[in-house]
Amino acid sequence: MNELGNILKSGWQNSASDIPAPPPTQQLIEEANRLQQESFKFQRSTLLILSSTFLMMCYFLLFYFGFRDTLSHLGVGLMLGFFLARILLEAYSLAQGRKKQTAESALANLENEKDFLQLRLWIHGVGTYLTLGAYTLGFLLLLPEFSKYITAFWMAAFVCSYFIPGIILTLLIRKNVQKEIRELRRVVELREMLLE
Amino acid sequence: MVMQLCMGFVKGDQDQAKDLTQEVFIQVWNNLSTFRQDSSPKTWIYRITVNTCLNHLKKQKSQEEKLEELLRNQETTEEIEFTETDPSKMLFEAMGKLSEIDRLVTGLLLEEVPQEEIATILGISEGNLRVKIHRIKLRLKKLIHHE
Repeated sequence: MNELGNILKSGWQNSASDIPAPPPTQQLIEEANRLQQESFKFQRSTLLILSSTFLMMCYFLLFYFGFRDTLSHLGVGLMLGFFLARILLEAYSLAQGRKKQTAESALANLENEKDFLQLRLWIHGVGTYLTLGAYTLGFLLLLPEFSKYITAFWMAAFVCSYFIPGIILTLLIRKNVQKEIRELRRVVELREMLLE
Repeated sequence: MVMQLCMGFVKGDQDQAKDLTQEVFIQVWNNLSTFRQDSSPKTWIYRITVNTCLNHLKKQKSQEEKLEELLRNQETTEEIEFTETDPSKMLFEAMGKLSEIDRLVTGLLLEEVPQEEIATILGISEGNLRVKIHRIKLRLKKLIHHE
């Protein structure tokens, strides 16, 4: 076994001589800052887009259309309430993501990754489908009042214009969820490998 | 030390190891404020290296790689001829046949990190680590055929 150890060590030492010099520290610090800024910018822009959409929805649903029926009010409440809940969940998930640290032990890191991915999976899966479902129900509750003012043709066009992008969106969500399930499986696999 | 550990992890692929090393230094810089004096800076950096390697794996694993791994696992009994001319290539080839966690343990052992510290870095008990090391040694002995 000692002979094997010597062979491995000589291989390891040998490989050390082929290692190129690392890039200058200043360059690494600049890269670290750039990546961190980029990540924050991306997170901020996601929340900004969601919040602007919410404000636009508030304008149209609360002021522009001026619904009078109780059923429509219920629909507006469902649409706005669930959309707001989805934004808050996204913000919570981003805050949890920032809390993650790579300086803990490998097991703690994998546990954190697992918890975080489970949270993301819930938000992107159950949370998003629930939002979409409630949003759709809210939209359907608005239709009786809309039908009082617009013709059947425009009503059909209105419904189609809601459902077609909705189906595309559902497919995109599904793809995202599948990616996160794969990542979660991998993390769980690594955790088990570490403990076995 | 970081680059070499990454090299062992990515089976000697220098480009991938370079990217990982850069990622490790970025993580070190970003986590500097969280560094507590309860471990040496070296152990702390090793911990970040191990976690960066494992996190990288999560993103990188494609179906193709999984298939490769499956094929590799079926060939684990295949011996590697040791050639005096390129011992590092032989070492990385052998490490490539180990699981990702075992590759990291082997790298840390070859870096001469004490077992107690390796257990802390990984977050497992020393007893568990000793079992792992024993298994790795047997596996490597089987893999590396030397005269």
